[in-house]
Amino acid sequence: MPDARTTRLPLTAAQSGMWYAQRLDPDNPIYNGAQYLEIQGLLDPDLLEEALRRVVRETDALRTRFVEDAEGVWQVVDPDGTGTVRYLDVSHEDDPQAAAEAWMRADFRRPLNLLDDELVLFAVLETAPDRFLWYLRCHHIVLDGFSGALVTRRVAEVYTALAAGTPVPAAEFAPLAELVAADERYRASEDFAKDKAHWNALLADRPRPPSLTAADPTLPTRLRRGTTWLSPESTRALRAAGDRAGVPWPPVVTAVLAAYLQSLGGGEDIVVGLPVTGRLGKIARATPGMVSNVLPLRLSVRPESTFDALLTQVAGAMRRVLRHQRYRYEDLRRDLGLLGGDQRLVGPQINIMMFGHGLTFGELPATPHTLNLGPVDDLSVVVHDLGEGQGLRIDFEGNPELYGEDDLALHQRRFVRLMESLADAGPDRALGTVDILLPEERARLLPPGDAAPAARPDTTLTELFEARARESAGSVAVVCGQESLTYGELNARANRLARLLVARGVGVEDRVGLVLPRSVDLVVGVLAVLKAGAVYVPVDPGYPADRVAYVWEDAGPSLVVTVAGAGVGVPAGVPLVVLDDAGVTAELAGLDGSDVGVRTSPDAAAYIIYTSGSTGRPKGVVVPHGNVVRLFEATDRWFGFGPDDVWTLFHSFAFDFSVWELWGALLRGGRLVVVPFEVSRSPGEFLRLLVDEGVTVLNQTPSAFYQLMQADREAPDMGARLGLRWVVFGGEALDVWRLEEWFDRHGDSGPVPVNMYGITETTVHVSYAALDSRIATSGAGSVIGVGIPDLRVYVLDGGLRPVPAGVAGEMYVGGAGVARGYWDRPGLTAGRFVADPFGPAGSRMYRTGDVARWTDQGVLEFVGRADDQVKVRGFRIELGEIESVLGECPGVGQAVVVVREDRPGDKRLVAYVVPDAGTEVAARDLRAHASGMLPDHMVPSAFVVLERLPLTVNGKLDRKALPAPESPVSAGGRAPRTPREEILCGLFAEILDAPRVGVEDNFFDLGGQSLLATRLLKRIHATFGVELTIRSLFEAPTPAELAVHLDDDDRGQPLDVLLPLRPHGTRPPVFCVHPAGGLSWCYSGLIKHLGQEYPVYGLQARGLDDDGERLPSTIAEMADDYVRQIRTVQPTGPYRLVGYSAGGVIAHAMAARLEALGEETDLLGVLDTYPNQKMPPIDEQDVLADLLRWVGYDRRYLGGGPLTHERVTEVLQRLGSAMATLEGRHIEAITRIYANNSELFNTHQADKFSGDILLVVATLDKIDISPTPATWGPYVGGRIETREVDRQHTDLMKPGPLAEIGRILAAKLEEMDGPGPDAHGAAAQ
Amino acid sequence: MSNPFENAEGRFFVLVNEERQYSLWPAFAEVPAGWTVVHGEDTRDACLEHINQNWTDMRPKSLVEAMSAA
Repeated sequence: MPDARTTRLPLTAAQSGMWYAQRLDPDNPIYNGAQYLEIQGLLDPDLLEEALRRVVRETDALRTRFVEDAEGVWQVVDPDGTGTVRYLDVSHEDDPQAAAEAWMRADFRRPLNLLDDELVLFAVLETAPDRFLWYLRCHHIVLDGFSGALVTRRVAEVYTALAAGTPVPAAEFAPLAELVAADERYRASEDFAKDKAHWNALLADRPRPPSLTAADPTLPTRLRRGTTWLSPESTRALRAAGDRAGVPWPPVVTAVLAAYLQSLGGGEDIVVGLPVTGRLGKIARATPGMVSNVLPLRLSVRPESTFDALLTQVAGAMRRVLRHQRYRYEDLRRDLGLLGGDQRLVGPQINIMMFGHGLTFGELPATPHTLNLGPVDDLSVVVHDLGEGQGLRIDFEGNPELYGEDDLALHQRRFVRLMESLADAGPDRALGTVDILLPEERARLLPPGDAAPAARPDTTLTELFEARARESAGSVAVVCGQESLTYGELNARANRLARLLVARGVGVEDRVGLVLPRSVDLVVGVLAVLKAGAVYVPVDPGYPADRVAYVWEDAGPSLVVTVAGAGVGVPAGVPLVVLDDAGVTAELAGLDGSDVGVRTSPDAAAYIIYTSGSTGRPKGVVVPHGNVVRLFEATDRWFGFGPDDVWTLFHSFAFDFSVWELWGALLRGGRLVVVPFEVSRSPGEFLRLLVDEGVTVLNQTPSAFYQLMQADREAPDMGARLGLRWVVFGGEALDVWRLEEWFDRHGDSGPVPVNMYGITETTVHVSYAALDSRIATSGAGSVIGVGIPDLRVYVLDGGLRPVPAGVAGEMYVGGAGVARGYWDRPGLTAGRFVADPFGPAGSRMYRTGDVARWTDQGVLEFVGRADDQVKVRGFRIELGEIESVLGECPGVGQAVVVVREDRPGDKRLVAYVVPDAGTEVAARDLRAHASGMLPDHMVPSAFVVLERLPLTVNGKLDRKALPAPESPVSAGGRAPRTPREEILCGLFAEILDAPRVGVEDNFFDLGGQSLLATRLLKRIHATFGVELTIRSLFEAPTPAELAVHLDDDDRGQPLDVLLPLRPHGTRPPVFCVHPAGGLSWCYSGLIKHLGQEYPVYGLQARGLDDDGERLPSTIAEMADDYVRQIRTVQPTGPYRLVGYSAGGVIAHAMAARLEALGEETDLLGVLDTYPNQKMPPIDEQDVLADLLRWVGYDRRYLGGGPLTHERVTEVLQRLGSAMATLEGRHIEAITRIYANNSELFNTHQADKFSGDILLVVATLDKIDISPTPATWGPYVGGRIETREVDRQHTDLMKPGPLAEIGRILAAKLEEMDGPGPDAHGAAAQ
Repeated sequence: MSNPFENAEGRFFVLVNEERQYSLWPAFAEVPAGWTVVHGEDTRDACLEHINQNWTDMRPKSLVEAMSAA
């Protein structure tokens, strides 16, 4: 018999969340809260037990158990607590403290069953006659941390009174029922709606949450903990900083965490998790229970802002969080569409423990120790204030899957160091300048600044080459096709040309343009310019004319060397030397071939090579001789290039990779094979050249090498004859994993692939990474290795501070390779070639704009371009992430994703994919693959399959040459006015594979041809059940005209009560009843999934189009009205009714009404509706949000702030939704109808319907005490059949869920009626 | 990833080293050794304008001297 004194209560929202979470993960003990108080002195255990029993009697939550019945889950407060008190004497153990801890650990690490297990346990452990541990363990569903402190304090108070023999002060705890009632009241209140609006607006454009690890967390079963302390002095200084800024100390430690996350690569828009009590008001604050919450604290942390400014900001942000702290984290996740996914909303948490210190039991002091505070998926920083004059205790609790013991310890040390630095920093010190690295990290990441720079070579390219020419005069220096020159011959030709240039007035630091095809002359030309003391400016004859003209204009050459028919415009008024001109040939022949003897400094410029950034005009990088000379000296210990090496000149000499190829051969006496342009673009022929010429050093951009790899795969015999020693990659990022197949064929004993990251501005190469098969298969990103010894590579954050290993930052390069700057661009140069704060005094470093990280092994990994992290519709997106997902799709060889803005303001992601040889990939499969792996905002809006990716002259991916996606572009025009027009637009778009088709777009203009026309007519037949001919499509080629063609008689008006969505069909119609807002257009997405033989009608509320129309006053009245309506098109049963949300209850009432009229309803489809529910109040904002939801539009794209009808209409119009034609008065009508319906709904007493019901359950939001299918029991005579869809209730009318529901209904109809005449038509779609 | 040198709203210095090479420099960061502030702090645009006006010969000073000596 239930005790009459028991109280049965619903759960608070927080408890529901906890219930659901624990049930999902029943063996996880992470929800057991546990703590102990260490009491020093002669405690009276009996008295403590007495105190505990009293407090249990006073505290409802400690006497609570949980029961579950057909109506859901309840908590029952028992009149007499079962709260057990255990007593253990461990004082005789060798290590009593360890024994006590082991016992407690074993207890709180045991998962609890919420229905059967004891949820609260007290224990007193005696570790010595004068030392006791009072242990409290209870499931988080019963008490939150705040309540734990309330209870602890009360127990101390009662014990103290009992011990002193004074009267025990009265307890101040309110009954649990009041806390539950307050929670319920809040959820129905205006405050709830306000909080909801606040949070949704705040987080609409939220950033990706910061994390200190790369992995995505899942909830662990236990946490790794580490404890450190901040000294009393530093604590005092931090508090003083808080006092100075006028903020209490919780914001101070929170600000430190935010600064820590920012400096470790978290970005400047930081969202941390802030645990809050969830309590507003006196009752809530005096009642133990579970209402606590974790909420996002969003902060802007900029390196240039001061700690003081950050403190002020954090304090304000925390106050705002607290003001809105009752809004549940789970609700927020649901609002933001994150439920069911594992996307995170917040980064690490900051948990500030304000209570529990300074308690006494009688005279005895007690020290609190937390054992487990509750679930943490990533990291929680728990800060205990040990009291005035004491330091801070800082516990890090981390997910052990993400943080090893060493990681946690390292973070803790750095965190404390940052606290100390910030405590010391003055009020005006910029955050970005506060040091974060530990001394040993600093030593590892930064070469000592005073290390003697490598001696600057005191020689030039010219001198070195001339020395080589003397030594190897008879060896072959350069080969091109049939032509070849020895070193002696090459030097002599270059000297003659140099003399000619000098004779024409060319001198030191003059620019000489070279426009030469790939030929022996090209090599002669380069040498001659340098020998004349001048600077060569290479112009590839393949460059577009406007680029060439730009280079001439910018570089201002004093002379240009070219050949006849080079095909490139030369600057007006500039002297030309045409090498194959008869006069020039004759003149050259008459000149001396010995060395010219013009002396230049190693600091004199050797070349100006133009590079184009993603933005702005190309700029000429000025590189001195010494930079190139030292490149070979500094890398010699790796390569040891010599006279036996054969190099290709594969790259355009206007691309600085050619500098490496030219001088790698010519400074070492090797042989340079000039690769003709056609051969360089034919991987098969190039492979043959490599074999025929016995090439030993191959330099390639990854894009070019992937193609060569393919040739090698297709001609393995040829590939086996390669004599390569080295394959050097440069010019763009290498996907190391793609070399796996190369290693499969060539093994690790073949040529050594070396990845060399580099940039023109730092003289070809920066780093070196020799690769092997292990690295290729390890799944590592792009390993770029270690810096060239005479360079200094830094990975810095936004404050120009080195970031620790593992953290991505921007790469800066200092040292001997740094170029002079950009030709004639002082401002640009000063912003990219900047002062090096870590190098020798006065030195410069180049800011690369590339993002990299150091591994723990001291190796650099390339992460991407800093500007590759793009923002599309407010979302930060890493293109590389999308590319790697597409790369995993079967059949995909290469994938590139770019952001295009073909129409101003319309940024979209476009994927370009090259299939593996011999395979085909379809855009549809790519989209399906991407949709399955990526969040919606990262799925490209178009997929373009290409035979090959376009490369620039330099062999890099040519982004500008990527074609615009060929999707037909809608002319726009007016939006569909009716659901039918909208459906037709959708069918057009589907057949034409267009993102969108407007209602006045002509099928044939958009690329429709006869085959597609046939498919369209089939789809129209399947959808509307109407057969049209090709002829009618010619007569009515737009969705608007075709809609008229479809049904001239029974089209109806879009706001009629009975809305024919598909009036034709051979079987009984399906009637779909509107949800609370009254509109049933949302069902238009359903019809293409139902067999075409079923007519489909929507039922819509009265009053939609006429605000004078009387709204029904009961659900029964409404049902009666709708029954009359449906009988106008179907006079007798059996009837088929479907209803979503409120529509489900109305449909049920209709079925009951039909039954009363003697008619059968053989299908009553109820889409996630349950009887006797209360509908939440809504406003116009919710109506607008609903409209967006139905078309599958994520309202976050619209940013924060309230929705406006204009904005929503604009979106609907853009998406081609008929709902765009709704006017302001319609939105008002819908809001009014909703309000009326919700009143009717909330008071409706359902009748019994004796037939069966098909209930579609949306599982994703059934997190709590949601009604179960069984709640229909009393109102249904027949069977309750359920089907589950893993969706949320509010999403059911989105296109995807509607398709699922369509399939469920179609299957049910087929079960009832047998297969349709065209069973493979609609149903298969 | 935002870069302190690209911050259009930021405050900057113009620095010069012994080779008469110029560098833009964010005002919040400590000025590295071997560099002298010749302008600022000021807006980014104003600093760039100063550099464009004053850094007319972009060759390092030692090279200029070596070349005129030769």
